[in-house]
This record gives sequence, C-alpha cells and structure tokens, in this order.
Amino acid sequence: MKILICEDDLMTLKALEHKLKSEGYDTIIAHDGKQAIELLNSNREIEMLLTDLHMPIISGLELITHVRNEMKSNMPIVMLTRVGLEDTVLHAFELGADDYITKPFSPEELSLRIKRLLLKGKS
Amino acid sequence: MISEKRKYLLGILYLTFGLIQIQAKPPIDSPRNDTLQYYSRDAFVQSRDSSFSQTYNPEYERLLDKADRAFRIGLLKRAKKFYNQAATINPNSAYIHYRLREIQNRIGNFNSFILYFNFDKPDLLIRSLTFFILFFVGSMLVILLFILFNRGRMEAIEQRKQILREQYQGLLVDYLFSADSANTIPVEIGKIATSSFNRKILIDQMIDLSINLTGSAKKKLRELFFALKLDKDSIKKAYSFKWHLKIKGFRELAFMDITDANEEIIKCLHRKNEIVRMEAQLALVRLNHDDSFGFLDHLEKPFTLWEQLTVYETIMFHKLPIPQFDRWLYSKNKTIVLFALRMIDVFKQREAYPTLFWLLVNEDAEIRNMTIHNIGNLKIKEALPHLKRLYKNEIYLNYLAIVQAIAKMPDESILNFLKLVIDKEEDVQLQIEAAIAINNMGSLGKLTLQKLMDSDYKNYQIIIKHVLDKRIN
Repeated sequence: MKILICEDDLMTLKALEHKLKSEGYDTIIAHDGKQAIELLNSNREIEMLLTDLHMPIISGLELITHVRNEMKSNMPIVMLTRVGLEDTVLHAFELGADDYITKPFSPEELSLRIKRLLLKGKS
Repeated sequence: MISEKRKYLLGILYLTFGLIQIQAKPPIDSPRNDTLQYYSRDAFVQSRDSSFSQTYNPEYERLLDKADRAFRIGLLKRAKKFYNQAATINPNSAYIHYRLREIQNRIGNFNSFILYFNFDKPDLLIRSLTFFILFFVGSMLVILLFILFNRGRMEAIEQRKQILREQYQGLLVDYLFSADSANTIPVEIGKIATSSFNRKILIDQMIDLSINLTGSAKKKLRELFFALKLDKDSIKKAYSFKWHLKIKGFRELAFMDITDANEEIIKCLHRKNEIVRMEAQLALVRLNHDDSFGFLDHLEKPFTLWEQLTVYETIMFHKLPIPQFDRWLYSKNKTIVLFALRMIDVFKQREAYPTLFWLLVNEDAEIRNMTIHNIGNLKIKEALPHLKRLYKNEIYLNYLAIVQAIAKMPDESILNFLKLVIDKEEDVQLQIEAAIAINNMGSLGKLTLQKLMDSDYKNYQIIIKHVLDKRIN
C-alpha cells in the first residue's frame, strides 16, 4: 500500500512518514504540491494521498483538483489543516477530498482514519 | 550682499581654477618664487640682518624657532604672535616682515587659498586630513575583515545547526514512534543533552514537533523533555533578564506544559515591553489549566486588540476550555470589559444578559455601544424596553446601534417606537435602519411600511423603497 504524503513542514512530514512506515505502509514524500503532482504522474502505484492544505507553489486544494479532474483518480484523499479553516475544508470536500484532520493531530487518530478509509475503499 | 549659496559656488569655482593654476604655473605670490624660500633663515639673517646676528640673542632665536615651527604646521596665528614678539627684539628684520606679510596674506586674502594647499610642506589641515583618511580606510578594512570573519563563523554555525537539526529530527521521530523505545532514552539523545549548544537545538526541534502533535506522541515528547532535564533550561530562560530569552522560555514552558515558572510569568503581565506582556498572557492561557483566563484578573495594562486576537487564536488552536466571560464585565480595565463583550458575542454566552443590562448604563460610550450590539446579536428580547428607554440620552453611534439591535430581534411591541424614529429623526441612515427593523417584523412590518409609503404626511417613499428593494436587502 503506497501513500503519498505532501507536507511543507519538515518535522511534521518526518513524523507522518515514520508513523505510517511503522504501521506497515509504503510512503513517498513531497514537500509541496508541484512535487506531489510530478510524483503522482510518474508513480501510478500510489493508492492514497495525505496532503496539507496550505503549501507553497501549488496548494492542497489545487492538488486535490488535479487528482480528481486531471488524473481522474478515485484514490482516498485525507487533508491536514489548521483549526478555524472550516470554509477551506468544506471547499476541499466539494473538490473531492474524503476526510480531514486538524493540526495539532494525534498520529494514532490519523492512522485509524487512514485504515478506515482504506477499508471503506475495499468494501 | 552676496548670498551664502553664491559665495559657496564662487569658492568652488575659485578653488577649481586655482588648482588648475597650480598645475599650469606657480602663483605670483607663492613663496616658491621668493628667494626666501630657498635660503635658510640663518643665511637670510646673516645676509640681511648681519649687524644683528653678530650680537647673538638666545631669546630672539628661540622665538624665531617657535614661530617657524608654528608657521610650518599651519598655526598661523601662533606663528604671527611669535614673529611679532621677535620683531620687538629685532624690528628691522626683513625675514620677520616677510613672514608676517605672508601670514597676513594667507589669513586675510582668499587668493592665497591655493597657498594653503602647499603640498611640499603639508600644514595642519592636510596632515589632519591625511590622518583621518588613513584612519577611516584602516577602520574600514578592519571592519570589513571582522564582517567577513563573522559571516564565515555564522555560516559555519548555521551549517552545524542544520546537520544537528536533521540528526535530531530523525532521532526524535524514531524515539516517538518506535514501539521498543517505550521507557528508555536512546543513548544518542542522551549524549546530545551534554552540550548547551546541542540542547538548544534539541529543544527547538522538540517544540517544533510538539506544535503539530497531540495525544500519546505529545505525552511521550514531554516525558523525554523532563528526562533530559530540558525543563531546567526553559525555566532558566523564563527568569532571564534578557527579554528575548524570557519569551523563548515562556513559549517552551507553555508548549511543554510546565507550570513551575508561572509566578514569574504572572509578574511579566505588568512589564512595559509589549512582546513580553503578550507572551506572558499566551503562556498563562495554556498553563493555567483550571482558569485559562485568570490572568485577566491581574492585568492592569491595556489589553490591546492584537493581544486579544492572539489569545483568541491560541484558545481556538489548542481547543482550550472556554470560561464564562461575564466574570470580567465588571473589570476596572476597559479593554478587558470590551474583550469579555467580544467573547460573549463570539461564544454566544446568552446567560450573561443580567450583567449586560448593567453595562447599558456604563459611563463609557464604547462599552455601551458594544453591549447594545451584543444584545442584538444574542437576541435578548428582555432588553428591548431598556433599549427604548436609553435611546433618548444616547450619542449618535449608539442611536444607530440601538435601532440595528432592535432590527435583529423583531418584536411588534417596539413598532410604534420605530415609527417614531422614522417620523422624528432627520438622519437618513437612522430612518433606513428603523425601516429595516420594521420590515424584519414580517407581514405586519411590511403592511406598516406600505401604509407609511402611501401617507401624504411626509415623503418616505425613497427610504421605504430602498428598504423593500430585494436587490439591496
């Protein structure tokens, strides 16, 4: 199971990568939306996207639009966002995101949400 | 009268042409053309003042020496004084007369300005200028070297920091998410904690990580912080005399939930430095678990809008418990009352209305205004008779606020009052707000507005049409 993690904060990115790896997932990392799109285009094995909404160059919202409209992919998308950005989250859901988690987050909660989404996808 | 500017321009022109003259030919009055320039004073004295030199006078020699020395380095007034003294001993000396004439020329005649720049014998000005030029060039070189050295040193430190950051990030993440590191601190992290430079970087990384984490990961991180005794470093910073270290300490303590320095943080609420004050407030919001906003009881300085916004952001971001803000509506600090009113509005604390009624008669117009808005936003209909009563004695902004508040909680009991506002007030904005309030009452309101429109008594048509226009309202 390959998950693409897109996050501009290096420390959070490392924490996410480590947590998901320890859960047995295969991970690829991107530091911004542009890099994530390149990885998505070159790596068709990616089955899930975990992305921050606020990133440089290409934002999380644009990344979601790319996955849903350009790539026509149904891969589960989980967003990472800050508290108080409810409008942005709603917009992301409209664009095709599946779930979201607010920062500061519990890695355990994130892991459970990912598992739930993957199970839902399989069923 | 020649203006100063003109004088200055003339001076520059003269100097420019004068310097060209130096290149082209020596000036007529220059000592270079004078035989005196090429003979020593003694030779001159022997040839011209021979009768006097035969009777050697040490005082005369001493005065001439002094005068010559002063003349050479450009102290013309001093030289003149000594020549004059020497002239009292030997009034017939042609040498002294020549020097005195020359001094007179130099001091009094602008034409001799060029002589001032006699590069063969640099005088005081040229020597001073040369000294200053050399001094500044030298200083510049020293500063340049210092900057280069410092820059190199800083770059080296930054590189070292970057390497350590990456190393610590890996170590911390490994420690936090590895199942086998439940209770033991890895040896590598233990080693880091021995150097103060490394500890600083480690603390920064731990704080960075703690910002985005909650739950067991954050708990584990906090335990590690204590195990490495990094809490002592943060407490030390909080007690530091340097304000930038102090606020860093406050932040670290707040993120790691360490309450040992709360006493010092409370003291800093009264600091003159706004940044220290704000950081103290933010730290206390997070560290006073039972009473996050308890610091408002101690705050005597104005609670600025920026501080209010930052505190609000903190409680939202960290999902802190929200207190009942009516507790601070009686505060002596006006800015705290305004903050409490804002929070009551934001968190819809309708239970605060008995206290809000008291604030309607507060002596401060701004507090009354915000209270009226709050009453409208919270739709406290019990306040309608009070608002009606207050209307007469209020200022213009509060008239508007009252009518706007009434519009937010339409009630038929207030219809006649609103009709009176439309009828008696001359301010169009007030009339519009009153008409909006009537319109909000539903069918009765619309009917009333229709009747007012048809009335011949006054022409309300434009106002009511504006209010009823669905494109606008």
